[in-house]
This record gives sequence, structure tokens and C-alpha cells, in this order.
Amino acid sequence: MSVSSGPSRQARSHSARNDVARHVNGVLFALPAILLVSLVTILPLGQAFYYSFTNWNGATASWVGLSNYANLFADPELSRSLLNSLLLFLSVPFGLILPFVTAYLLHKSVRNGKLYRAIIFAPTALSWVVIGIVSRQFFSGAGPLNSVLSLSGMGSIAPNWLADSTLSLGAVVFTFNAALFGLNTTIFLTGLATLDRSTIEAARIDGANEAQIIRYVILPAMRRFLQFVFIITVVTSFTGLFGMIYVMTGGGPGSATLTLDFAIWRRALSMGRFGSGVAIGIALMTLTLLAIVLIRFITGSRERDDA
Amino acid sequence: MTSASPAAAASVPEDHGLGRIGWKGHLLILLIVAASLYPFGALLVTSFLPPVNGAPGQLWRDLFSQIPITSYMLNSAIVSGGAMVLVATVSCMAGYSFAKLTFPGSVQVIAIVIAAISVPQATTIIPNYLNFASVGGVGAYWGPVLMYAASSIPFATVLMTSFFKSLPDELLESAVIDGASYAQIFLVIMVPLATPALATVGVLAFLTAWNDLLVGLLFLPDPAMRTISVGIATLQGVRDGSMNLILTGSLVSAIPPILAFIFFQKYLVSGIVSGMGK
Repeated sequence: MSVSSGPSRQARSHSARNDVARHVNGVLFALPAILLVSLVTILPLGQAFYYSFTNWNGATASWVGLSNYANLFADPELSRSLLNSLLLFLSVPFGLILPFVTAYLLHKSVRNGKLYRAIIFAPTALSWVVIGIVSRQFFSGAGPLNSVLSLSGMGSIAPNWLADSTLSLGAVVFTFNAALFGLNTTIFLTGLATLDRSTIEAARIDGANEAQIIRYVILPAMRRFLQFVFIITVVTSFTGLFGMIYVMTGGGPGSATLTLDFAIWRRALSMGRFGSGVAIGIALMTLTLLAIVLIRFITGSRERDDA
Repeated sequence: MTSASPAAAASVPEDHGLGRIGWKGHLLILLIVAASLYPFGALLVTSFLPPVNGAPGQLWRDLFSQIPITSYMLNSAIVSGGAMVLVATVSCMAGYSFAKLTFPGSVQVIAIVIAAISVPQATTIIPNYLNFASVGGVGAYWGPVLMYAASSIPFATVLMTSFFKSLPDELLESAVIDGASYAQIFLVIMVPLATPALATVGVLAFLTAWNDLLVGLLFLPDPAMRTISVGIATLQGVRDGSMNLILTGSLVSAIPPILAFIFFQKYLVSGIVSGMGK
């Protein structure tokens, strides 16, 4: 080793030793997260995928090919839950109109704005179980809704909402959209707060009216927020309503309000048909991902580059 | 509108160039505010109204005398608190690693963690249930704690990673030159700086666990270990006529999340919206 190359070699070996130490520490610090995600998400996902092609009952499993997936369409209960999930999905664009209008009005209004925002966000604290219970009381035979109907002279049409298959599905769709109203309004408000005031004023000076400003300035600028709200609402409708359905309707009457995630519970955990249950789970995940791709496509993602 | 006078500008500090709303807009806002108060009103009024042939407050006495509501709340606190601590610890460590201690392959690992966000809990619940049952995680608090933690960790890790990425690298480099170990840097420099982000992931994890039904229903079958959500939801099957008692219990179950919302509202909104970056 020549004297002149000493310091630089020393520096290099020092930095190499540092790199090794940094890599070892990096792996160690990430290890708990890697282990948990591997054992509680990735491993069971692989198992679910494999067993979805079998008639698994928890102990034994023999290969049945695609029949669990074919059953999604053939079995009346499962095809009904597919249809219900689709209806919930289709209700979302309509369910987003009122939160957007409310956020827009709150953004313009200043008096009591903070208080109103806090109250509108507050129901987000309630769990789907509590929301389902409140809604069950609201729609019950002698509940608040029917009391209002009879007080306003429409007592003759006050039905038993949750006992009727069409009305109960309507009640579930309504409750779901109403429960997410506060969260979605709040996210829209966050988006409106990022709007560039000078663009709006420039449009106004150019003679644009309010409707034109909303259509050509605000909505395009809000694209990312609209997309985000659309996606989280649809994902919730597919995968997050178990608690609400459990207490509100139990999936009934019959299978009128059965959703895919509730069908997994019914099939597998009360009937022991695990193979069928995991197939519904895989279908549920696939549909969720397809819906996200579809929403991204519809709402466009031109702004992703500057996101 | 475009007045340049400072006094006028001060009187409308939050004017966004859109003008004001009319009385119809105000009416709509008031109706929506009233509707947002409905669930709280329904829970409060029902729980304090006297039941048929009963005295006011009867429902509250029944709730505490007939239903082990305190033990339900305690069980929920144990599993939700456990999940909260685990999520905050694990996601903070992983975020530090992915942002500041990148190792060969860490990019691929992050990609897998992000992908794990899109795996619905319902998809993996059956294999998880049987896996946990085979190692004694069903009927013990640690089973649901791990389940809740694992469901919150992917998003929490992404959030913590982007937080640590926003810190300058010089912070780490100068501490290394000063001879600090990576663990010391984590504990002494990184964790204190990360407190707001930790509050966000911790509160979100707590709420997810507290408000869950499915995992609690499956993983804690022993009635003495039931969480509050499970306790209330299953009350329904047992006592069909006692809807008002169930509503009173629901109100009790909602108190911790409501308090969390009051104290952590700002962290919650920023945490939820930060999911947009992904």
C-alpha cells in the first residue's frame, strides 16, 4: 500500500463499511413491517387464490377447477350479491353530487363555516355498526321516518322498509351514501382550498358566469380530488359495509341486501364452504381493482404527471 | 369584489373570488347540518327517553346492570390500543428504513407494501382465521391485534415513508459523522420529528380497530372477550325487542371515536387526503 493512496483507500473502505451498516440497519428496521405484511396479507392471499379452485372445508380440499367462480353467476344468492354490489357502485356518482354542492357552498360562505364543517364531518366518527343500528331504527315500522310520514298525512303508505326486498336495498344504498357524505364533503373542501384564486378572478374578468367558472375552471382543477373520493367511496361500497349490513338487514330479507363481503361471511363462516368463500373474496378484490382502473379511465389522469 | 381598500379586504378575509351564497344556499347548508346531527340526536334522545313502563335513565341503568358493557369497552381498548402502538412503531421503523436507509431491493419491497393496500380484508379473512386458529391466535387478544395492525400497516408505512422523505438527508449524514448509530438517530432525532405523522397513523389505526366488526366477531368468540362493536351487534340477535337498549350501547361505543375526532380532526383529514398521493 503506497502512502499516497492510503487516505483515499481508507475513505473508500470506510464508506463501504458504512454502506453495509446502513443496508443491514435498513433491512432490520423494515423487517417487522415485511413480516406482518407477508404473513397476514400476502401468504393468506396466496392461500385464498389456491383454495378458490377447490372445495375446501377447512380440513380437506380437492380440486374443482373454476366451479366456485362459475357459481358466482349460477347461484341465485351470489348473483344477487354481485348485482347489489354493482347497484351500490352505480349509486356513487349520484351520491357525490350533494357533497360537492355542499362543499362549494361552504367554501363560498364564511359565516359559521368552521362550526358547520365540524358538524358535517362528525358522523364520520361513527362505526358502520352504529350507523347500521341508527338506520335500522330510522327505517323501522314505528320509526322516525314512518312517524314523519303519518304526521304529514301519508300514514297509509308508511311501509315496513327493511322487510321489503326492494325498499330495504334502497335503504341500504341511501344509508351508505349518507354515511360517507361528511367525509366526502370534507375532502372536497380540502380540494377547493387548493384552488388558485387568480384563475377564477381572471375568468370572471373575462366575463365567465358562475356556472361556466364551475364547469371550466373549478371541476378540471378538482379532478384529482373527484377521482380520489370516487375511488375510496367505491372501495368502501365493495369491501367496507359488513358491519352495517350485519346489524341493519343481515343481508335480507332473503338475499335482497346481500353484498359480496357479507356473502363471504354467510357462505364460509356459517356454512363451512371455505372454497366458495375464498373465491368470492378473490372476485371481490378483482372487481375492486377493475373499478379503480375504470374510474381512473373515466375521470382521466392527465394530471398524474404533476401530482 | 375587486375592491382594493384594505378595510374591505379585511371584512371578507376568506373571499375566494366566487362571491357569496344566497338564502337558498344557506337554507340547504342548514338542512344538511341538521341531517348531520341526526344520528347523534337519535342516539341521545332514544337513550334518555323513558322506555314503556320505565323511568327516565332506565336504559342507562339496564345497560350497565344487564350487559357487561364495561368489559366490552375494556376489550376494545386493549385490542385497539395494542394495534395503535404496533402500527405506529412498525410503520415508523419501516418508513425510516424506506426513506433514509434504502437497501438493495427496498424499492421492490415498497411496491409490495403499496400493493398490499388494495387487498381487501374480506379476501384474506378465511385463510387468516384458520392460520391464526392453528397457532392459538383465535380467542387471545394478540390475534386481533396482529390482524388490525396488519390491515393498517401498509397505508401507515406509505405515509411514514413520504414523511421521512421530506426530511433532509443531511440530518442523517451529519449524525453519522458525529458517530451516532442508526438506532440512536432513529430514537433521538427521527421519532421526535415524526410526532405529527405518528399521531395521524396511530389515531387512524385506533379508529379502524375500534370500529371493526368482522375480525372481532371471528377472532374473539369467548363472550368475556367481546369487543364493544361485537357486543352491540350480537345483542340484537339475543334481545330482539330491546332496540333502544342497543342504541344506548351504540352511543357508549361511539364516545372514544368521537373524542378522537374532536382532538385529532386536523391529523385525520390530512392523513386521509395524503392517501391521494398513492
